Amino acid sequence: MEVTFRVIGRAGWGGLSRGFCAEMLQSLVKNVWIPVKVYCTRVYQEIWVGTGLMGFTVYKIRTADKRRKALKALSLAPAHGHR
Amino acid sequence: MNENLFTSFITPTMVGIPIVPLIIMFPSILFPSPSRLIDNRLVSIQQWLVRLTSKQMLSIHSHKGQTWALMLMSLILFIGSTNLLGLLPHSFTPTTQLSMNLGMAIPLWAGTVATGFRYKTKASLAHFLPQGTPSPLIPMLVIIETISLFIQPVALAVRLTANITAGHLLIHLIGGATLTLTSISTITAFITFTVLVLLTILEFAVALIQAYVFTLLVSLYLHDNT
Repeated sequence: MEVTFRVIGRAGWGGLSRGFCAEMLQSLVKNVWIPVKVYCTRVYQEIWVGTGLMGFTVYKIRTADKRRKALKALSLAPAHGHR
Repeated sequence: MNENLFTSFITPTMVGIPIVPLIIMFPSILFPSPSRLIDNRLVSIQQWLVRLTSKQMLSIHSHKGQTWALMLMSLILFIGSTNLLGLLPHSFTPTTQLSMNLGMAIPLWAGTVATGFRYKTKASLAHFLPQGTPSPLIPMLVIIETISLFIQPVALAVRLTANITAGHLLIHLIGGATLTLTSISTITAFITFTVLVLLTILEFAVALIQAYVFTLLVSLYLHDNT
């Protein structure tokens, strides 16, 4: 509520002044990050390993798809070029 | 009925920008954080449900396994609320996308396996060979157990995707059939409409059951590794 009243009284670019953004970030850190910090940094370390594994899999699939599309475009291009 | 049956599964965009992250974050608005000792009715009911589910699900776990309570409860609430919101007409259900479900299944499964290898290495390796296996069968059984281990996240993701997608498709088809039959035969349309109502009730149950099954299986994999 306090933050909302300050936004109304503050002149800025659509109410999103630097001060308001800083307050929002502070509120986010105090109410969200501080309570879950222990979980994210210590308890769920193995889940981050799993997330990295999944990210690696996604990267491999994407690069393979790009390579396949590039090869397909290359194989089609000489056929078009001969016309 | 949509001209194409699968248009409801296309990721929605607004002015060219995909709005899937907003849709994924939307269910969190429906679960306000408790701020008082005794909250309003909605928060009290949600707290009661979470306590009931967590007691039932976490009673089998050791101290290490119970540290995953936050993750498991968040998982069941997210999947349950997403599936239920997807039953609203013309809505998009993120859990019909295999990419989304693999994105949930792989990190959680890998997390349970990594926990097992980190804290109980011998016991985790022992899972690759069931007790009492005859010696000639050992190599084959190790291969089979390895395959069954790696298939777990795929099965988790595909189970959720297939159940939710199939349910939505059936609702589309039977709804379209009901609409078409109203101009042909009223009695048949009424019977089809009754089937549609029963199917919708079933889909409500499936939405909750699939959330429970997903979370229960992750909890079981964790229990095997802690």
